[in-house]
Amino acid sequence: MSPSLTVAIPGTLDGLAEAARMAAAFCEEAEVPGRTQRNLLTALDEVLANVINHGLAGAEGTIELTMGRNAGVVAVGVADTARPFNPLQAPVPDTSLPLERRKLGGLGIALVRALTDEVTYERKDGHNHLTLRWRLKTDSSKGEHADK
Amino acid sequence: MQINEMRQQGAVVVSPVGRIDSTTSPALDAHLQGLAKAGDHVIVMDLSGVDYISSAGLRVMLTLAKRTKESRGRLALAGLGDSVRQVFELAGFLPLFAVEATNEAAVAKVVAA
Repeated sequence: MSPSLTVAIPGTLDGLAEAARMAAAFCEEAEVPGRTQRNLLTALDEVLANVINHGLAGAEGTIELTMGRNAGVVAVGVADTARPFNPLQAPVPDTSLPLERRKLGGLGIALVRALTDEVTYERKDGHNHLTLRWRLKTDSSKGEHADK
Repeated sequence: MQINEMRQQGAVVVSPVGRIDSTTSPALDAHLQGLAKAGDHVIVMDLSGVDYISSAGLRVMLTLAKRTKESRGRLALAGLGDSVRQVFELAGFLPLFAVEATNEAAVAKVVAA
């Protein structure tokens, strides 16, 4: 069994909330280990917020979310109808500045990079496609219970 | 997300429970702004009930830190779980906050000075 999910959500904050709920339910059903699950849900929030706030920037649009798990990998795909926008080209923020000068632009995408094992961007058929992947330990009897 | 609050030795201990992300962080921000308006600037953020925090939540925490500094208040964090600590670390946020293991230690920290 390879659980999978495909849904289309409106590119709004309400749509984001709905996607977060479905992603959390998917993780439970697909038995994604606790640490990977939290990383996935955090990264997904960053990616969707980025599409809604910067990609669509107030315009109407639809976001297609796909999730799948097999023995070794959990993958999340986010496809949107926004203008061509590759978040992986966003400048990396300076995280060493003092409080007064600290800005948050780009931090979300930096987190996505750090919290995933692999992230790729592709512009195809008028859509932005972002794919996030996590490798799972193949020995499921170890390390998952203490982590939960 | 649910937000619990209690007062200890003159400090306000705020305990968000659940996830702090794009959809829940506006409520947390509004709650913290309410405290500032009421003149409460000695604050402990108890994060022990937080599953995970995204950059939207970090934005709220950064705003709180800046506001507390401007109003000469005091702020400490407590109860950071693995996921929350990891995100604070990746964002370079740990040096910006007083981080204590327990609420008791955090309250002692903000009340002492």
